[in-house]
Formats: sequence, structure tokens, C-alpha cells
Amino acid sequence: MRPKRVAIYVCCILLALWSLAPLYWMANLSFMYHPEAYMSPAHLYPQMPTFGNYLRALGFSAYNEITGEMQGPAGYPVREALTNSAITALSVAAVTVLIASPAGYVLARLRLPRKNFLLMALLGTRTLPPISIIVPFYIIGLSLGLVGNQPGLIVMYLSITLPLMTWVLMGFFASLPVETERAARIDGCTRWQTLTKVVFPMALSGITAVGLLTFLMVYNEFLFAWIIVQGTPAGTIQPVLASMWFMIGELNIMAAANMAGLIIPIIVCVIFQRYIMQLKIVDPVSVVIQ
Amino acid sequence: MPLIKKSLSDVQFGLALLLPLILFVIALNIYPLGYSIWMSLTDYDISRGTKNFIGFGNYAHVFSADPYFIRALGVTLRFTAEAVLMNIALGLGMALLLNEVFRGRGLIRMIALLPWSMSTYAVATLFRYLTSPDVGLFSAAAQYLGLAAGPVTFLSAGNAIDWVALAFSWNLAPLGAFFFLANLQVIPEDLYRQAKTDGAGAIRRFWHVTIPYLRYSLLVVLLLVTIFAATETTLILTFTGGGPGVSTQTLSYWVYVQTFTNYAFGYGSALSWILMLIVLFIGIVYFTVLTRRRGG
Repeated sequence: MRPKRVAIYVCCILLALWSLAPLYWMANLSFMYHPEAYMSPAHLYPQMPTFGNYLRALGFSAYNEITGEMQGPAGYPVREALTNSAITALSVAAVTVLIASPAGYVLARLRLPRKNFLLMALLGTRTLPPISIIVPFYIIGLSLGLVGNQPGLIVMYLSITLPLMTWVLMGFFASLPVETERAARIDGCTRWQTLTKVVFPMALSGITAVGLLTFLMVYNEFLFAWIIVQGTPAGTIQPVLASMWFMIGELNIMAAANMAGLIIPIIVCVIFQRYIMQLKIVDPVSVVIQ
Repeated sequence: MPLIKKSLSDVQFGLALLLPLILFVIALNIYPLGYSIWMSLTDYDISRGTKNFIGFGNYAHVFSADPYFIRALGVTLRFTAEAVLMNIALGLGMALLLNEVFRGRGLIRMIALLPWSMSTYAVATLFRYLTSPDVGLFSAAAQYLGLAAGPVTFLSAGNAIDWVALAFSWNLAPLGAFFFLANLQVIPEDLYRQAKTDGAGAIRRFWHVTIPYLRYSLLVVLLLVTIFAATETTLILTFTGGGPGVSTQTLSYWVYVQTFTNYAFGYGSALSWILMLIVLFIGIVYFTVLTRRRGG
């Protein structure tokens, strides 16, 4: 048994290194002053750590201990972009949950004519490459005024999240026991009451998980945001960071801005971790998550 | 159940709740797709100002007169194959480890899942920093270990696509790992015990008990990784930008360039439909192969 224990812990260390080393390296650079960040070979840890890069990346001033001066904000709309991302992701998550929950329930429980047709349509949309969806979207969106603003971006995200999350929730509702609903109906609840007072409270954890997942997907999405809102006041965090990359000569600020962009996903991931097994995301077709 | 007063029939109630979804799917999915088929049959091009129906002209051009297409197809296949292999190996490895019982397993699970939670753009940035000759971890490590006298350039035209595949797998492997993990947890413990009494070693138990049981999740991971990898655009755009030279220009990158750089909407749509059909074809092949074996 003993050598096996050792092997397990060695593997754990390797896994932790694999997952965390890339993150550590960017964090390392983000805590360096400008001259140190450009030293070659790069230092493995900051000799004079500073939090100033974060402040300056987020639009505040910071005191520079090397020169003894205050330095102004870096001048990139990182804070605005984070706000935009949060608003966009929250809106998409809210609309998705509101529409996909009842739809998922109906598809899981009721017999309907032509149900299979709708299921195939939902599934079919998930196999489409994003780059193939965005092309017609962009052209239609141009004529409808949906390019370059937040409502347009939200609508485009719904095209991805609605079919996917309806599918995930359908699997989740199907896994819930049906007896409680029957009992509620026999006790005289209307269909609507059964849904709002019995089914949804029971399904709250699954619905929360789907909301979180939608939020994370939207927050992390790059391609649609890059094509639809890059360079506009509605710019979300991913395209704003990407456009900084091409402009900025300050690696340490850039690293700090990128780290700031990772805070929300890391928090969501830690919360989501508890749900991932339970949600039955393990259902093959539902899982198309990225 | 005659006691229940029915105000709405099942069908009416169901349709009422489904209606928003149906409307959204028609407006946001079915209509744009139809539009895209139509566009692929035109020479719609903003930079040239043309918009005429040309039948299958775009498709014919792709296969007969586009020298980039075959090269991009080759790069896409190489990238997809590497990504699939890395994802299966990494995901299976992680799942086998996380399936063991040890102290701190919850924490390790969380750490393992972390790369999955990051955006593709963030992954590209992390890997640009790691592989940078001047500020990169790998270059610095090589110098500190005395393996190199100066900055080391890791990405070359010959291997850049491998690095992209590695970054891609770093990001996606945890998802596969959690699939495998869920699957591993339903393998009956008895099977292992029986195999052990039959004198099967750890490796044979893995091949004859674990792998057959994992066939279903292997199929899922294979399918997903293939679809994602074959259509990956963001990582290429933000990690290598198609370079160095043209070495990482995949099909999806080519769709992006045709549509959003050259504004050749018609041609871009045709390319995107070819990409979709290729992905669909691979999916069907996997499905047939892996589900047929189950009977035999």
C-alpha cells in the first residue's frame, strides 16, 4: 500500500503544477515593476513585489517605490469592460434561465406532438461551429442594428445558451422524482402552481448551476464579443484585454489586467465545482460546454 | 384523474411554456442558418460590392482553385488529432487519480478543474507568457538550468501548431476528466476484485475492466474534443494569429479571415459549410465505429 500512497501524492503534485504553473507565471509578472518585468532571464518571483499594476490597470493611481512618484492610471477601459461583461453575462443568464427552465420541464415531462423535431433542432444547433454561426449572424445583425452594442451581443449569446441550457435542464428535470408532482396535482394544485411551488423549488440547485454555467460561458466568450463589440463602449473584458495586447508596451500592467479578468471565473469555478457532478452534465449530448 | 379540474390541456400548457424557446430558436438559429446556406451560393463580397447567385461556384472554387484550403485542412487535421490524443490521455490520467481516495482530494479536484474555467483568450495569454523568449517561464528555466546561454524561442513554423494543441488541451482536459470520473464511479467494485482473484495485474485490469466500461464516455469525449478542436478559432487568433508564417492557419481561421478580414461573405459561408460537413462526417464515423463494437 505504501508505494501506492507515494505514487498518488507525486501525481497530485504533478497535477497541481500542471494546472497552476501557467497561472503562477502570469501572477509573477503582474506583481513586478516595469524594469524587473523586462529582465532576461525572467525572475522566478518578484524581487520587489507591488500591487500597483493592478491599481493602474483598473484605472487608479499608484505609488512607485522605485522612482518615488505617483503613477497615473494605465488608461485602458478594464473596469468598464468588467462591468459590461458582468451586465451582459447576468442578462443572458437571467433570460436563459427564465426561458429554458419551463421549456426544459415541459420537454422532460409532457407528451407533445412533434416533440422530437424540436429536440433535434436543439441538438443540431449545438453541433454547429461558432465561426459558422457568427457569419450569418453578423450580416443579419448589421442590417438590424445589432452590431456594435450590448443588446445585439446579448441576443447573439442567447442563440447559443438557450438550446444548450434547455437541453441540460431537460436532463435535470427528467432525473427528478415525478411522485411529488403527482401528489401536488391530486391535492388540487393547478399546473402552474405545481410548477412554481413544487417543481422549481425542488430543481433550484440545478437551475442555479445552469445560471452559473451560462454566466461563465458568456463571460469567457471571445469570438462573438470580438466581432460584435470590440472597440465600442460596449466592449466586454475578453476583447478589451485582447486589444490591449496589441497596443500596450507595459507587460506588467497587461499581466495584472489579465489576472483581474480571471478573478470572476475562478470564483465561479470554485462554486460550480460542487454542482458539476450533480447536474448530470455528464449526459453526453448536454455537455457541449466551452 | 377526474378529480383534477383541467383548465388547459397538456398540449396547450406545454406549448405555452415552449413558445418563447421556439420563437428564439427559429429567429436565432434556424433563420441565420438558412441565410448562411443562401449566402454560400452567392458571390456576396463587401469589398468588391458583388451579391449575385452563383450556384455551387464557391464550393467548386474551394476544391479546384484555393491553394490555402488543402493546406488549412492539413493543419486542422494535425491539430485535431493531437488535441484528441492529449485530451484523452490527460483526462483519463486525471480521472484515474481523482477517483482514488486520499486526503485533500476535494482541493486537488478543484485545482484540476481550474484551467477549464478560464476563457480561451486567457489560455492564449498564459501560454504566450510561458513560451515567450524574453519573459517566458520555459526560456528562463532553460537559462537557469544552464541548458541555454540566452533567450530561447520555443514556437517555430514547424511546431507552433503543437503548442496550440497543448494549450487547447490544458484548457479542455479537465472537462473530459470529469466525464471519465463520473463514469469510473459507476464501475462495480466486484469486477476488479474478481479480476484480481483471476490473477489479472493492474494493467490488465485497466484494459479489460476499466476501458470497456469507459467506452461510452470515451465516445463522448472523442466527439466533443474533435468538434471543438476542428472548429477552434479563438485560440489560433489570439495565441499565434495564424503564424509563424502560415503554420497555424486552420480551416476555421481561414473562414474568419475570408469573412471578417476580406469581407467575402459568400465565400466565407461556403467554407464554413464545408467545415460543418467535415465535422458532421467525423462525428458519424466515430459514432458508428464505437457503437458497433459494443455488440461484438
